[in-house]
Amino acid sequence: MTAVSKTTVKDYLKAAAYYLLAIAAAFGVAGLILLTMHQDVLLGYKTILTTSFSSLPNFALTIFKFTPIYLMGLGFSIPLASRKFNVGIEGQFLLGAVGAAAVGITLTGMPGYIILPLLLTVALIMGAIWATVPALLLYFFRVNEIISTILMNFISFYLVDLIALGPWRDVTAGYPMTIPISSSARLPIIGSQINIGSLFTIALAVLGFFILYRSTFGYELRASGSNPIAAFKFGIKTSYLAPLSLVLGGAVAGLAGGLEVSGLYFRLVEGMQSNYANLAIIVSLMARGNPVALLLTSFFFSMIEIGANAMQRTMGTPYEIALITESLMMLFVMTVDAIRQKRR
Amino acid sequence: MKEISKRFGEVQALDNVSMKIGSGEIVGLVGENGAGKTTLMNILYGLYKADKGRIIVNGRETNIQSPKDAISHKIFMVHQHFKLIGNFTSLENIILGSTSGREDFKRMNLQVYRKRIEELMREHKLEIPLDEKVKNLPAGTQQRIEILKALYRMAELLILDEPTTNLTPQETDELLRSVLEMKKRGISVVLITHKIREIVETVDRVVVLRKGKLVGEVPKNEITPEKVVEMMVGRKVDLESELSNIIVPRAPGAEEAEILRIEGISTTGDEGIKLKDISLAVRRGEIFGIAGVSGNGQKELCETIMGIHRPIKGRIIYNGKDLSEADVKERIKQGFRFIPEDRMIDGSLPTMTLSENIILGFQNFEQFQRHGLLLYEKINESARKAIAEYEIRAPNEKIRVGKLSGGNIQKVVVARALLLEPGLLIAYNPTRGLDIGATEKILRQIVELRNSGVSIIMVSEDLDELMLVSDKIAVMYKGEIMGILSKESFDKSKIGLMMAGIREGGIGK
Amino acid sequence: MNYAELTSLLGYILVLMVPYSLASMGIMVGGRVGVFNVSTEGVMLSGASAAFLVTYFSGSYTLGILSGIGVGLLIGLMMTFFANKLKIDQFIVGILLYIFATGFGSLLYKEIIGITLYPPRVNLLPRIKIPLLSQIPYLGPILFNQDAIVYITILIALLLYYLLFKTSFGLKIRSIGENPRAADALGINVFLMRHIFTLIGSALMGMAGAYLALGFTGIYTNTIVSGRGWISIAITIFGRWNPLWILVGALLFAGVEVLVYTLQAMEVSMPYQVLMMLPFIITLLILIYTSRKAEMPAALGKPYDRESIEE
Repeated sequence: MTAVSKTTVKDYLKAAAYYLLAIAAAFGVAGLILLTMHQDVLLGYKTILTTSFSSLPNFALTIFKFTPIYLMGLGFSIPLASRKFNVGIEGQFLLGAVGAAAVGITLTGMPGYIILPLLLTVALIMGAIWATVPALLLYFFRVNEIISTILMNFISFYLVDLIALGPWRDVTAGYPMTIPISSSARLPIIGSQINIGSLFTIALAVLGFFILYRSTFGYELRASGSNPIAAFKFGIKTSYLAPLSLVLGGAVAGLAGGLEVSGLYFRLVEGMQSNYANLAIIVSLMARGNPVALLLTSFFFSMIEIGANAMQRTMGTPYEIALITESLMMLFVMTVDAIRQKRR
Repeated sequence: MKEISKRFGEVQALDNVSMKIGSGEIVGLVGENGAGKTTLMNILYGLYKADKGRIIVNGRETNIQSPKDAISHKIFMVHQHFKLIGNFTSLENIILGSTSGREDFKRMNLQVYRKRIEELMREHKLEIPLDEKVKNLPAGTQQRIEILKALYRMAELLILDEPTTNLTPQETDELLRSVLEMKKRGISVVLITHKIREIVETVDRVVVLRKGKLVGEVPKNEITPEKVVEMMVGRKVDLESELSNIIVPRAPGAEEAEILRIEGISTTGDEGIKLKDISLAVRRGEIFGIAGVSGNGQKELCETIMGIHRPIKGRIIYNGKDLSEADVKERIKQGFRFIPEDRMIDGSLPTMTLSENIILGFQNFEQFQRHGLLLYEKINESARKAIAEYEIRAPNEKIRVGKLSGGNIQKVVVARALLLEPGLLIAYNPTRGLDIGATEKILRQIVELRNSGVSIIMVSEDLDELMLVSDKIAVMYKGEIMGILSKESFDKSKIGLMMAGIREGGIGK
Repeated sequence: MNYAELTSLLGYILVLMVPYSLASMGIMVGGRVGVFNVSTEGVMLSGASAAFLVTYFSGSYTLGILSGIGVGLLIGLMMTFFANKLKIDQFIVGILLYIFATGFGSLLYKEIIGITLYPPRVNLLPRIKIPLLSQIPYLGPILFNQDAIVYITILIALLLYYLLFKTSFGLKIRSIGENPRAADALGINVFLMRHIFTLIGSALMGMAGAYLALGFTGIYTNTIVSGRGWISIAITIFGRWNPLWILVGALLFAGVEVLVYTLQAMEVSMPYQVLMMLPFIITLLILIYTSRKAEMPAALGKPYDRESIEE
């Protein structure tokens, strides 16, 4: 029989080094692409990596982006524990935004401490509802959640378009969006820039970690992801844990949408989901579904996003290069994992 | 095969093994689980590549890199786990891959193929339905399909890996007869097995491996099971006498309380084999064995008793309580414990730690959680104890179970079952894949449990093992119980007949 | 609506059938060897982008279609490398490549053409009128007055059907998706075939995207695919991984799309957004229906490792 080696600090460092290599490789490819576009590669690197820290407004912006990326990442991570791919976080986010906008626009004249919790709860519930359809399809018909949640995404796009051009339409705007929500429905701000929405991320990270890794519910969730057959045979109700995880993920993604409406846009804007979903998927995979590690990966990617946007403004480089770099990063990280597995 | 060596990671699976196979010769390749027999033949068949050594066929050195090469040398292997395509018909399975080059792209000429196969079936007396989907056929038939695959390709050397695992004693005899038939036609056969008794009559020679090394060869006239086992294990082993020492015989007439009663259980068969009106009773402190060719409902019965499947009729009464409606969690709470059929597929959570695996099924118990939060100190402690007690080869309790070897995973599964005062242990092939030392240990443990009052339902494909430890044996065939025998009346041929569907005193359905 | 309008409308069904069926056949081809490639939507986008750009600057349709195929091959190469060689989870690789390909396609276009007020156009693929057959009343103009790719697509479907279900080669290929271990033990080159067919599958997806740009819209936008790639996955499942049924499914969905446009044009009193939701809702319903008789290659989605210990 084999004698398995113990993991030491040295091993962790080695692992970290390999991952850094993977990340560097992704940046290397990006650099090559920049070269073909006759751009200044070093300036590009500098812009991407340092813009977030170059000024206070930039840093605040990074935090602003970090919040929805994190929450949507959490919305992907929870179903991931039971091996379900909730690619529908985009739609769930939007439905949360719709709910928040609805509350914010219709409920005027009520104090903030009533409206805000209500608004966020509604956002949570709307996101959960949007995930419930694929969850039910999964439970009753074993429909693959990747396809069903993505289809729900597309339906949500048209729904948002309908609402943004509907009775709440802001006719003065040159772009589909609703009228703003009432001032009491807006998230209070700390300092002069950051709203309290960002604090949610820390709270949820801690909560998420405890639930996932320290509670029996989380244990059963992870067991049904690790081996649904064995989990089932030992009494775990896998058939509804997986759909339930989708609904929970949807709730968190919905919350993200609500926070964006209440903390940043103050209205429902078509396209406000940006590309957070794609980013959320990658950061979640990178954090291996761990809510605490997710804080790091989300922040890292938020940083890259700010940098990429700056790059587009100042250097004219299409911002898509960020997406390419980020997806390659993940692929290379997994490559590193696969290679190290083989060595054992 | 000359001086073959092969290493898997840190394990030296084969060390400098050489063996010869003559034309028209039947060779038994024996050894314990893990001795390297299958690995050696897999190398011959091109599925693995040897680190060192040469393969010489018909006097010429060959370089076998893949099964394709082996087949071109007329070497064919039938594996323990059949390599058949469930969704294809028998015909399709037999002709699969037999064509190449231009012919591949022409329209398939099924009539011609069919004729040829029917001829082979007649010649070798191997009957199979050609147009049925293989997944619907029983194990014995599937094995015949595998053999026909080899004959269709005009194999000159046929390797059979543990061929008797899924057969009744009668089917085993039939198989060995066909092997002798093949010998007459000049085909050489290698029989890989760890059940020496069965092949003693058939083989010309026995080659013994132990822990990857060649121990020796024994020609036909010198073969005795005892001698071979001694070579396999390295010491004198007499499992029978050792175990019978610790089995406390029941005083005749001693009435032990019945702890489990199963009445008229029938299932829909959606999950596999349909169970038909199963009734049995198990007493406290008793080992109730279930015999039968694998695939006749044993697994389904175990899982129904465990609560995994719901019967459409019948009752399950345990300790006076009717648990027919209770779910698995409830039954575990009442003392039910399960060692499932496949340790990997049914029994382990590969991405989770050893600790987390040990408490699977117990995660809601008071010992391990409070208010929904797991008590990891207690859990880890239990895991550490189990590692020590069962000699599980793992650095600590935090290791991901997926990284452990099969035998160690089996130990985790067994440890879990015996962790917290079992009342009723349902064990399916508990010693599968374990070497004689570990097998002995676990059987001993099971007997000790029995002596201390635990009831055990044990399913095993190894009839000898079952007859050794059980107080009663029920034989299953096609989802029904053919008969229940008590220890005094254990009779191998009677059981064999029941395994084939023939009840006592008449022809079964 | 008059006869001419109806004919051209029905003709569009065949046009839209192409991207759906090519993409679905691409998924099927990979699926038959056990590789479930979900990056379709992204591959189609990149294929459309590449095809449009090449045709716009070179004037050649052939080069455009070939570039679409080429891009498909490129991403297919990545897919087979990560999923088959490194054995990383196929769904994760597929989703990541979808993200990658989406970025790649729009990057390509943005760099070369950039953001313009009016997007540049190419002429759509020319129609080929098949003599005699296109004179048939009613059916003739619809079926036999289409561009070359439509005919080619149907030929591809027939060819794949014959290859997979009527030849020994096809039997071998299908066995790889059912039980790669068994296929390997019979001497079938599982590894090579998985690579090749993943590539072919991805190439078909790229071709589907190319056709969207060159045969359907004549322009490129980032929303040119708008969900058809994902719907194609559903069509493949609905078509039970069989090219002929896939063709039927593709026609059905093309029909739904055309219906939606028709209803919009007729200014039905439903908001157009609801109409646009229809294809997706219908897809969800189809998924429910097909779950009843899910018939897919048994070893779909799993990597194959020859030396992994089989207990």
